[in-house]
Amino acid sequence: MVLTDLKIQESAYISKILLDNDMKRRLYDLGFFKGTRIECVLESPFKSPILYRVGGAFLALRRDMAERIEISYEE
Amino acid sequence: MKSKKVALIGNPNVGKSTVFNALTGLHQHTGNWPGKTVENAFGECEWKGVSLTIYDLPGTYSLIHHSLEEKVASDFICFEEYDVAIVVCDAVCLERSLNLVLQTMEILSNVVVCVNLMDEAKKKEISIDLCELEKILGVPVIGTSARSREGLDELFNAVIQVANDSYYSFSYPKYLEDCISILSSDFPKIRYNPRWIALQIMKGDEIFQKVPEVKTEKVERFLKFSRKVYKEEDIVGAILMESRRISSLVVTFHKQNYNETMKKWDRILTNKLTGIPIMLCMLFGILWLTIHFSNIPSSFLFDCFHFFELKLFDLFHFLAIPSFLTDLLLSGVYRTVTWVVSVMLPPMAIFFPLFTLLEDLGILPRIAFNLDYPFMKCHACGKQSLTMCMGLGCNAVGVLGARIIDSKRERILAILTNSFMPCNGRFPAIISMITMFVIGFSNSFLGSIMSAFTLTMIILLGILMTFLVSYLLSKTILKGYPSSFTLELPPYRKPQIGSVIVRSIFDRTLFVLGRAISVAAPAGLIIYLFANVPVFGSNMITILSNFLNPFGLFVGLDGMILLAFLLGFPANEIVIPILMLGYLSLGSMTEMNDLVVMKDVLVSHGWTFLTAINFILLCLFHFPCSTTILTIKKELRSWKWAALAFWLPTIIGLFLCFLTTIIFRF
Repeated sequence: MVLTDLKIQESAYISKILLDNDMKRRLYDLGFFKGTRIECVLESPFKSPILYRVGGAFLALRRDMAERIEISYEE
Repeated sequence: MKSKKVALIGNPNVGKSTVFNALTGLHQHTGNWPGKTVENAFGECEWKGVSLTIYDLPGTYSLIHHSLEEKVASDFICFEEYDVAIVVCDAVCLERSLNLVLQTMEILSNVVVCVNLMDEAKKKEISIDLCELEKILGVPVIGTSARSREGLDELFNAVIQVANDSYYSFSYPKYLEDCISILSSDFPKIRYNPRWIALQIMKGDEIFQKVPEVKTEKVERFLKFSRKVYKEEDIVGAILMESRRISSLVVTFHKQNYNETMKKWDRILTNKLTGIPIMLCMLFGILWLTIHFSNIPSSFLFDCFHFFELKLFDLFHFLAIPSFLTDLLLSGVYRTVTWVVSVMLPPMAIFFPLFTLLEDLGILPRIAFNLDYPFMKCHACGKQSLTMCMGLGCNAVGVLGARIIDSKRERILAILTNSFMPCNGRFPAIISMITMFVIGFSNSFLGSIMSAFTLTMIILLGILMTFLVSYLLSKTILKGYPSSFTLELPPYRKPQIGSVIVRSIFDRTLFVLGRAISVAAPAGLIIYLFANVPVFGSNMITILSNFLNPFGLFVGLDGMILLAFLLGFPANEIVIPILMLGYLSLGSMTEMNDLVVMKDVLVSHGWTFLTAINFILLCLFHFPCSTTILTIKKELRSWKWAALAFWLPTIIGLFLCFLTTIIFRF
């Protein structure tokens, strides 16, 4: 399952990030790491980017990026 | 007196600049969106006999830098000499802030942790055990609400007292620990944490430029192996896990759904049906308020200045000052400067506070969120819309603001297209053309609605051109795909009306106005001399405008208009006064405070509806002012890009004028 499968207001845990190192590093800084709980908040008018909640922060990711973050419902 | 150098760092948009302002009493710009501070600012203050120099660094998520703005901060923290670092944390997202705290504490020992936004956390029913956090970290931890100045005394005390001599250390995977101990075993004495230096050596060569003495024989022998096994992910992971552990020990959430109000607003502002119309309405609303409420003060200022002009004229006459000098100073300098003030001041004094209000509320990142998709389709970055918003105020600020865009290619796109957004200096000229030639004169409610609507359409044209040019550039000289995009949406924050007004009037309005005046005065002088000093039986104005005239007529303008734009290169505000001065020097008119009179002058010099349309087009699409060009040169470190930023809009503008002329004539 990947992040874009998450419906609005659903939440899950990040299991794997399949992006290049630079991007992965950036996501780590923003708190995206294995085991992080993530909630899908809403979509922008054009369906991309999508807004997620991680910890207390609200972060928007483009659809193509969200597709490369694997998630699972269990921690 | 004892003195200390203090660095202020933290994640973007946690209120570093607010803390900075509260500590130093300065007025560094603050705004509710990540990336507001792009350059180091410093201020001085005194506390209990210690003089403190405080550096406000741009926000950063990590010291292993990523974007340009983050490099500024991480270079400062890692290699600059200073006494204390205050790490400003967001009480609402403490876990993420702790990342930066831990990274900083690995680099230096004298750290003070300032947990800001305690008021916001309280509202969201998040409680933080600051004593426990202090115990775990071993450095002073101070809770503050900088906006209401809570906790600042304690912060000052902690800064002058802190004297910690150990680095925070936590364990990395065993192989990393082994490498660290081998590498650091025979470092000479350095002022850095050997552990951190060892990690930097494994990361890359940059450290040898900054701290060459650690390149010992042993290090060189072991270098290759250690770099081969080095995995950055393990370091990051260790730090992240440590912050997660600490955060779980000190943070308690009392309410699960604490963000419902924000989500509710976001659902409206970013909705498929309402999102973009609302943003357009906001643009229209701001423009309408600006146009509607600046008419009266504007004509009042005109009358005042005109009254003084007559008095000054009498005075000059009384003092028997030669009439040439009187004309030079009054008709040249005084009239140009007062024109700029009376036309510029009222709209800016309305526009800037409104803009600052939206900025403080946190609306701007929502615009970027809504518009990212079309930008992505043009192979650009959604954050470009933030720089465009800034460009509406001042293009130079927009260019500087493009630092929030990570990818160099997308940043160049944002910089090159920024001047398609008409800055505040161009509004008045466009609005007066609309009033004179498009919708006719009317001071009524309907009139200002129509003007604002037309101006909104003109800005939309600028936005369309931005998309088109970004797309074309991405397909030609700036080839490439859109890169990564992450955007943080800050919580909505209630703006502090008083500080919004003070900041926008003093820091923005008066600053921009001051710049315009300092350009307008010499420009008035020069143009007057141009118009009145005889050269070859004529004058410079006539010679130059005659020279430009054939080309001007060819694209549906005239020589004087082109000359006015050229001479207005230092500041767009002075294009109209130069134009009028130029026309008037050929006739005998003296009044130019009235649009009706102004229109007569223009029409008598052959202006038609087409000329006005072309003037507006050229106003929207022409070279940015000299300040912007210099900023571009500074930002991209290349005259080539600056030259492109000059020619690109100019050619587009002239081409569009040519096109409308052809369409009109057939």
